[in-house]
Amino acid sequence: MLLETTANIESTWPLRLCRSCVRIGGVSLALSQECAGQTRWSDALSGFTVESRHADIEVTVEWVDRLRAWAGRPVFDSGALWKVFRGAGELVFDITSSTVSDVPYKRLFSAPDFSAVRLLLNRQALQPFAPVDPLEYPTDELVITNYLARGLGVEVHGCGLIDSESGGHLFLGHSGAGKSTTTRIWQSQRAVQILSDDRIILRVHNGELWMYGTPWHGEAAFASAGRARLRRIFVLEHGDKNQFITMAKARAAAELFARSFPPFHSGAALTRTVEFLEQVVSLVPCYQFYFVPDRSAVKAVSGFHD
Amino acid sequence: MTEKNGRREKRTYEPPKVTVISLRPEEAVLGHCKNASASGPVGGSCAVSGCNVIGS
Repeated sequence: MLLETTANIESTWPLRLCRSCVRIGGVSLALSQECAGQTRWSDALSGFTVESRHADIEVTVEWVDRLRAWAGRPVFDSGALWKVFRGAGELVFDITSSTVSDVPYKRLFSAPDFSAVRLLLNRQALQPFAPVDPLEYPTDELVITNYLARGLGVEVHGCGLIDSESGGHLFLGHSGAGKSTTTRIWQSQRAVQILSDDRIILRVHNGELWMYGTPWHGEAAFASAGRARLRRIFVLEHGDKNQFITMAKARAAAELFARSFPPFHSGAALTRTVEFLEQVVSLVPCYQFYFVPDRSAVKAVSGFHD
Repeated sequence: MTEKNGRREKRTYEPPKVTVISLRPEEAVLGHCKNASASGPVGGSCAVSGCNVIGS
């Protein structure tokens, strides 16, 4: 799907800029770019588009003929697709993939608070893949999670669903813990809306914990833009019977942190993430959920009381 | 210390315990292969580099 124009923010001949928005985790992100740009929304992001003139994060997209690797030592190297550098009053993210080019195919310049981002697309590297999604993974996640790391929320590794009878349920887990399996079992047994089978955003509003769906799904490929209030959190563990074990708050905060996606390049952001998680475990109880991967697990959670 | 019948009772001493919690950095750092369904250049990167499919 080609990007839809929701509002023209500038009309300077011969360049006309188009603006479009997505909202993820309650954070709105506006993308401004040349209307003739060879871009599109990915299928996953299409479900998160919104009409909005206000945006928490303003992203301007520019095509450049080529990019060279940013000079200097990175402040953090993801070990995979991206590295982050400290520029003049801003952060610089280089995104590189050996299958695309040996130089960055994207570069982000961001204000320290991530309210404004300039995104450069390397025409030489990306032309064979056009049309491209400017916010394609991991760009969208990097921007949103860094914005949230001001104490506004955190992205966690888990599956979230809304059951028509029992409300929102969040199951955290590392890879292989059973998130997609849990999602599929619930879907086969109940009337549920799956927010994501892999990544959920947590926010606190008016003293209540809320979870939001994200476009960043797992194996089961569930992603939707809904949200639900949470009254407890489960951490998935394989078991030979269904069993809930209450976790002390300190333990729960540590287990949540181990299943979150904090910005490791910033000490301040890490501190605020831990403080946010401390707030989360003070609002809702957390349980280790040893489960059997069949419908008995659904029954156990549906009938569970704190 | 807790109050019971007007008397303060000592809680049983529990020695501190060390619990090891795995951070799994290969999963916690964004930008590693997330799942096989990633589209575009990134999806290609995951396929060629032979990363494990870690989404579950």
